[in-house]
Amino acid sequence: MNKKIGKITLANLGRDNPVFVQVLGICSTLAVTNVLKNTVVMSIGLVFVTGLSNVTVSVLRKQIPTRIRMMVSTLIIASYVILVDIVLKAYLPDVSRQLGPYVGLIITNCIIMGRAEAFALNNKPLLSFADGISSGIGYSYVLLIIAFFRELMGSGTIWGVTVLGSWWVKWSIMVMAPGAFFMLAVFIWLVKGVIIKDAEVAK
Amino acid sequence: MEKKSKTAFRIRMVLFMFSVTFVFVVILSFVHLYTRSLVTRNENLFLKRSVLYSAGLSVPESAEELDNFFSENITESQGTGEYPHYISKNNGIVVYTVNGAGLWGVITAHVGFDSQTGKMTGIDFVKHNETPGLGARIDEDWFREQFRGKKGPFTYVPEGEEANENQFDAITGATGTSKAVKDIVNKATAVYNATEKSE
Repeated sequence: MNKKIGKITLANLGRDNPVFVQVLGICSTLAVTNVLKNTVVMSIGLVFVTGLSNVTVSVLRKQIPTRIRMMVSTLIIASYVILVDIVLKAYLPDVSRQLGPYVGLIITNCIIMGRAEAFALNNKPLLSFADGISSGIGYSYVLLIIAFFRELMGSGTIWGVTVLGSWWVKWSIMVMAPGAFFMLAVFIWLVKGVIIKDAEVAK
Repeated sequence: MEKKSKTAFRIRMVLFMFSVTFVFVVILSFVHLYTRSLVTRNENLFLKRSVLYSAGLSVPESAEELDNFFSENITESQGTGEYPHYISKNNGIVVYTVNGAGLWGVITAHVGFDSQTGKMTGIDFVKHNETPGLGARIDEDWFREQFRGKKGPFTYVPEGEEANENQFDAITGATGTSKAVKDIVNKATAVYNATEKSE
């Protein structure tokens, strides 16, 4: 069991990474990665929602009629996202204000639905939980790397603190959506071309 | 026989969906009710901080002091026109709530004026959907602070070149938002001037 969990976790972080291998959840990758702070909150929210929705779907997997499984998954996912939204509004009002509509958009993140559909419906709750959490983390670290470079180049800051002096000409395009396309493409290119190239050849 | 089981299957689907929905909605409703007072309180505090900030008054840190300070110094007024405003009796300051069209959506701002000199005491943005990292920089201190003690109608100049009393630094890469802010402060100035004259 433990071996299996480890294997799933490793795969989700690397070889089967939801962002740079499966290329899922791209909409939010583009939307929230221009400032590091927003990305961190978004990532925490996503890890929470993927983990719990996977467990819930997995617990109910034998009861859910196959025809309406997507409806049920969506309902479960939406409920957890609303929960995150309410908690942020009540306890972290400043963060909630900054993220605005992005929290609600977690519902449409394909990774969560993808994991529920592909994994949680066929596996035990504990395994599904590990899968959800590691998928979330696999998504998060890619987003954080992209956000780090976008904020640095686009605003000259990291976590809102100015690190590049006035000599740095800000790349405005980096904080707009096209900047995310460029960053993501470069990232996928690097990872696929350099790191997992051998694995693909070996296949 | 075949037909009957099909109907049973359908009924089971509907019942299943219904009960799952019911359970989740009940849970969410309880969480919502439990946190509702906290959420409204947060919004209320945010609004009060924003009014005090744009009036150029000191903003107390703790929620309790903020409440006391606010109720002692500020009176809310619906006003005669469509612009609700807040009046600080002791200091002769009026704060207007003004809306304007931003790049992506409505920008709502509090704009304060000193009624002795007619100069602005400050501005604060209550709500906006501007681009993070570009237009959303209107929330940064340097941008909001530059309006204090100035007098409209305003024009904007490139970032870092502001010199006169009726100019403000625009945000590089966010001309649309800068223009929207210009419209908002000028609208507030017009509203202020019109009410001052009529009084």
